Amino acid sequence: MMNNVQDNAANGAGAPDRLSKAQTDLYRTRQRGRNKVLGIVLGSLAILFFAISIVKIAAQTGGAH
Amino acid sequence: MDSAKPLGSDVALPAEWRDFFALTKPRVMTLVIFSGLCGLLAAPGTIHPVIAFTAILCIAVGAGGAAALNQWWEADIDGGMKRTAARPLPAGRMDRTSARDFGVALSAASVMIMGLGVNWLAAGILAFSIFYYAWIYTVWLKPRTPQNIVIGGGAGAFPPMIGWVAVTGDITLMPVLLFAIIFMWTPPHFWALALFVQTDYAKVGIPMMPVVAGEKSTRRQILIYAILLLPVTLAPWWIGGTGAIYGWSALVLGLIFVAFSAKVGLRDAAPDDTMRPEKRLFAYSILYLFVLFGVLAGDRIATVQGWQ
Repeated sequence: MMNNVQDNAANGAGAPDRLSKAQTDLYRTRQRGRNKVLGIVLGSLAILFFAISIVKIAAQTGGAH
Repeated sequence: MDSAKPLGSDVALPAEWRDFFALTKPRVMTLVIFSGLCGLLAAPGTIHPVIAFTAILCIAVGAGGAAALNQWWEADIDGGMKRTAARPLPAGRMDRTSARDFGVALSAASVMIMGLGVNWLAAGILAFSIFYYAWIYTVWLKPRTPQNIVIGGGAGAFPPMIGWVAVTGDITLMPVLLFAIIFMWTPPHFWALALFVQTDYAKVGIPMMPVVAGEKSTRRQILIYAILLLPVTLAPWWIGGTGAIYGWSALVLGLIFVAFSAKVGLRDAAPDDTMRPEKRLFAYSILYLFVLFGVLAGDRIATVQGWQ
């Protein structure tokens, strides 16, 4: 079973196929949480790659002398 | 996007980030990180802290990717066991495609970063360890043979070896011995658990040793592996790869392990038994590995500092 939010009365048969306010809020909260974590992960990776590059360049420069 | 159904009358919510994190089996990951770090600290040679951090991060992320792939494959089995029914997939908080994609992405990223940032031998072993756990153990061995834990133990044995190779760039006898220690430790550790949760495994048709070969045979094998583990843990000291701090600690810890295993191995449990000795062996086996690898790293630090 998927993680579903069951339809409320406003979305019953014949009603416009729209999310209720509660459904929209829950959806956005989860999406916002995921986006925030993904942003932190990508930012951390950028910092890590920068740090690795500096270490590798420094090691090569040190080896050349 | 991991919503399998369109928005409308039946809304599929995106899985929470916490569920993705849970897919990586964080509790297992702590042991993986610790043993990898100890392998790295115990290795001869030096490594820049940034590269060391990268290596441990890649070991952790690779283990997380393999765990996600394991849960993707075993979602139905997990749903049938009390211990695993609350995981994101069997509980219905996430769809299987997302779990699979997440596992593949973590695995690929960890291997690539390990190769580019640390060295390609460590990356190669990491890639093989992910394949070993996600395919050889999960797909192939686990549902087919009661020896699944024995051979599958190799999957958990790779982290200290990868940590070591991250520093040295080559494979010698010492990292192979570190691999062998966890390999030999896994059967008594898991079979102790399997003895007190065997109905769970039997329900979903996983041929764990107590279910297939019976309790008596499992108990005997727990004791045999615990006895065999002792000389394997002493081998690094014997070949001169570690100092006396590690050697004496391994001897004492190993004798206690054998004592706990003997209590399990030499008894017959009644049907309504509380399985206290088995639970104590399981708990001690975790502590044992943490302390043994901690002492291994400590021994190396003591040697470098000239304290022994």
